[in-house]
Amino acid sequence: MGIQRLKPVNGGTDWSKYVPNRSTWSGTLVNGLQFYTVYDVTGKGYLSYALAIVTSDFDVRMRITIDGVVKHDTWSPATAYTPTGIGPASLIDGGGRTSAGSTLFMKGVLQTNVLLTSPVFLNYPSTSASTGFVIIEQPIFYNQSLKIELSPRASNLSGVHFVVVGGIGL
Amino acid sequence: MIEILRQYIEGDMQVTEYTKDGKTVSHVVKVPVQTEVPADEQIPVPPTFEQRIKALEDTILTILQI
Repeated sequence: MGIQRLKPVNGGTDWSKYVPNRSTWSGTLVNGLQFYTVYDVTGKGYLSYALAIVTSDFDVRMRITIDGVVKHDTWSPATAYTPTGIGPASLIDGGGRTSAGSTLFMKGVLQTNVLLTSPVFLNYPSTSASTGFVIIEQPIFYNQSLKIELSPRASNLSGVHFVVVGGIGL
Repeated sequence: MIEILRQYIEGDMQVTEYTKDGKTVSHVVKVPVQTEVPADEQIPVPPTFEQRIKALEDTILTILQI
């Protein structure tokens, strides 16, 4: 039995055809339960992660529409600094806080530290407006459009922080 | 290579148009116009787990009036 020669395989992502795109927003969402657009892309690209937190004990909802279809709809817990969103597990660091039990940290992605207390991890796609955080280990590619919206539980919800990282191209 | 073609404000959104050929728009990215955070405004640091427990203890003691 000789060496089997494999056929050349096309595939993989040519990252040279993309440029990174990152956006942050911090502020107040005025009307409770109304959706506010915080990131809206027309064209091809990919989403690496998106997070939203509130610095008070209120919850915020994140809805992500990809190519016109809602693929993500989650709430944060009503606990300050506890995020909702979508991203890889590598964003989450145990932080070595043994006294904190299930408290985890998600670091370096917002303008402030955030906690992840008693986290609920969800699978992609998650569209039932559950409370939790969706873990993905690969970028989500889109062909036509990406829209990310936030909705507050309360009116005049201040201290909302949002970050999105991805890229556009091809 | 993708480059920025033009940027402008449209309502409450900042719009950035990108191009691949230097002429036509290939991508449009819209984000909310960000109000600058004043330099003297501190972004709060989240309480530690221990601080949360202490605050809860204080609340319970206040309710029980111990």
